[in-house]
Amino acid sequence: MSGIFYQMDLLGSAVSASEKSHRVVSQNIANVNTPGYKTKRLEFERLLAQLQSSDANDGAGSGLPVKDLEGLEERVDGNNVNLEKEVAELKENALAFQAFSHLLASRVSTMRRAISG
Amino acid sequence: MSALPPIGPNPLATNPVTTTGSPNIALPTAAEKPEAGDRNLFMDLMARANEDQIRSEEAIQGLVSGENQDVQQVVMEVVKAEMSFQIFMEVRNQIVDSYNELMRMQF
Repeated sequence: MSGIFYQMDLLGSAVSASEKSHRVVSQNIANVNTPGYKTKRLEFERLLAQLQSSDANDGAGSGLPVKDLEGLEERVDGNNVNLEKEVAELKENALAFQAFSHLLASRVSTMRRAISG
Repeated sequence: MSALPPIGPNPLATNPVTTTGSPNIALPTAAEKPEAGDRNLFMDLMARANEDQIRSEEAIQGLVSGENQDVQQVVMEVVKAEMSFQIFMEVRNQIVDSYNELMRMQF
């Protein structure tokens, strides 16, 4: 809770975390017909903590904290991707991304106004 | 000009935007009248803007960390904070303007 860029960094981390989450969900959708593929989910909170702890080194090296999603019905070919569920997740994530980026933009513009008077 | 009316109605009933010179003089005297002594309208406004700013930061923090799922409430907080900051800036600009106007006066 300190520094003038704290909020911007926080929102920046949130934006990049939801972008990563988008990637994971897209991968699920792309693999909807891959035999043996298991649905994956990004662990948002862990990724956020990871991004915040290593702001200087961009944190991409340590890999995404992804886990298999439990409790889904498996098809005969060993694939358990539920397309509707994934699309809903994608939409929700897109909404979160939009919210975060708008908040970031408004914060930046407030700070600009504070600086330039 | 549009930013001064919000402070007019609540604490003092004088109309502050008649001449550019008057608000600067009217503010301290009106603030001293209610026997509060150290009450300053401008400082109050600044403190309130700051409070709103802090509240919006907390709301953003809550949203990002996942404690709070209510996006609408967070957006409301942020917009309110932005607006009160804008009012504060506008009032400050008016005060500075009127001060400059006062300094240019010649008798």
